[in-house]
Amino acid sequence: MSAVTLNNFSKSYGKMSVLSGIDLTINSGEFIALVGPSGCGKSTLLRMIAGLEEITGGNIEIGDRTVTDLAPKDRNIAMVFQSYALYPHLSVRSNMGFSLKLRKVATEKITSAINSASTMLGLDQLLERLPKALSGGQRQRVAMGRAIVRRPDVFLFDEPLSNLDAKLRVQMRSEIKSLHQDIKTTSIYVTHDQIEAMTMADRIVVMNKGNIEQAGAPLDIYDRPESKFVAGFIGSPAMNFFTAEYKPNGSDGFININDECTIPLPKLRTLQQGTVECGIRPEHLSLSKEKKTGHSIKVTVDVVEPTGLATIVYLSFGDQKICFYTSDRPDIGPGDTVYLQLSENKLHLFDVNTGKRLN
Amino acid sequence: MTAYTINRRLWSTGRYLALSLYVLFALFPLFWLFRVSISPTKLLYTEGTSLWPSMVTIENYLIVLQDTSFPTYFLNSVTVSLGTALCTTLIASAAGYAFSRFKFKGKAIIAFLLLLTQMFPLVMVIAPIYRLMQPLGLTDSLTGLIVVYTAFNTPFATFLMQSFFDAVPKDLEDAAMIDGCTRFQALIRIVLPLTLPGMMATLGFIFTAAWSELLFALMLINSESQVTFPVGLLNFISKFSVDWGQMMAAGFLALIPACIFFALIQKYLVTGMTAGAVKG
Repeated sequence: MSAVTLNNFSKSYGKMSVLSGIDLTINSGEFIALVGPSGCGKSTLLRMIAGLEEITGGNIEIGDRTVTDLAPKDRNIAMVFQSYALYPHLSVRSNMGFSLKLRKVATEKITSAINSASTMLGLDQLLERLPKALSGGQRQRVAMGRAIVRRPDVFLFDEPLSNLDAKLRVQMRSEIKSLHQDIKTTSIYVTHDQIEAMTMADRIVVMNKGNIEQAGAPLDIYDRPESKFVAGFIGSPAMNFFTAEYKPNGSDGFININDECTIPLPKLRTLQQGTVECGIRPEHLSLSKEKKTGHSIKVTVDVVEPTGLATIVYLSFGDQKICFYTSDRPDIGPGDTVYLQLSENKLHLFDVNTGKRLN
Repeated sequence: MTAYTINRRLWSTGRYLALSLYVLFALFPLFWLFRVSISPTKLLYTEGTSLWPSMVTIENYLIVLQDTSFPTYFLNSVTVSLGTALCTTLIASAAGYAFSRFKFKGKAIIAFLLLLTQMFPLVMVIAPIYRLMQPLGLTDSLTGLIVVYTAFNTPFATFLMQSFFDAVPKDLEDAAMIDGCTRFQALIRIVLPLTLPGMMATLGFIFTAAWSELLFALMLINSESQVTFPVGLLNFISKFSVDWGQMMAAGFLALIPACIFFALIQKYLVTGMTAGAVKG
């Protein structure tokens, strides 16, 4: 177990900068998830940590060693790839023992390491098979087994569940989490699936356009996103956004949405008055057929999606689309006019230009 | 039987008929080669085009093996073809790997130049090649032939090998390097075993190309001891007559190593060709 420290990490291809000034410390034994949309640089960052991509600037420390200029093999890391990257011509046993054999570890030790990892992952019956004779989930387990037998300082996961079907993904998600709880190796997990990040990680790092947008505990990020990007990226269904006018009012302030709804708020420190982006999560809205007292907007129902567990309703507010999530089963249908109540302490306000949080 | 079933059977029969015709068409010259090689010379013209001679002899084979230099030609051809196939495959594998895995300056230009060499007819370059080889002492030598054949076959083989390397996911090498390999070890332990069918296919293609090459062998070889078998076959044509029986017997014998070679690598060749064609 080792901490990983990235100092002013950057990467560029010619003049094109892919990552710039990344500073991040991953504590020993921590499970951290790097999330972000495609092309945000998260996989590149992971490959740089692994030593598979050259580092343009900055340095990386694993434990008390600076490994910036070391080859991947000398960093004592293990990586699980999206494609599993199992050696197709080697049996499961040989795949798992490959790294130890290269390090000239004694055969008995290799065998015992493989046996204990295969027992942990339920691979005992599959050790003599070739990868092509395994299912997707089994291959994924072998890839993890190959990483575990190494007893590395750091585990790197590059979207390891993307190739699995939805049901298996949920199962493997909890398997990886419980594995981490058992062996407590520092883990860095890249995913574009924010549900995976939320459910598995001790801490999430949200990336966008080669920068870290926000790093923090999953629920902190969910409850208090620092930017409109993070607010929109984390959470499914995604947060709703409206454009609103903010005005000060004595020692407080208020926002006005389409002249239809005025919501009082504590005074903003960074903005005198002007247009703001106002965000609210779908589950923080409440729906009624009649206009109630409080802060509500009149909307039209477009689509009702009952999932059994909950109901997701898509509505129109003028030109804007709004999503509403409830664990109830509301008696409404397309074309109905209903009212949505916005609770004032659940509103997130963002700067229209920079996207930074205002409240 | 419904019309649909009849129709399907007809199609199936038609397909096999067409395939049989094709196989017959492709193999008939080989049959004729064999048929002439076992016909006594005196019957060759009298029996015309009958499918099987009224008398069969192995005399032509005995003459070819005992009284001509055919065994020497044959050994020379084996040396040149194997040498060329090995050298070309080695060079093409290294070059194909570099094209597949590395980014370097001038990559596109080098690829274009390699392609360009394939555009000229060989006849055009024979004279300059001769002038190049002569001062180097590489004319009239099997080594010289190997050098020339290797040079001319490498571009095609490089592209072929590149497609095989492209089909091996880069993740495998990355995984091997994280597991403790250097890039070279990853190549030897992981990539090479997976591209073995490709290498075998390349070896096969180049072996056959060198085995049947006539033009350079004719121009660059003078002495009887260095002649390869395609040139040697011409010896059966004298000024006033052609010894068809012996020529065909020699030709038939020359087929044997190529057939053995292909039989050995056939398994790799089929997987190799499909592996290169379909990525992933």
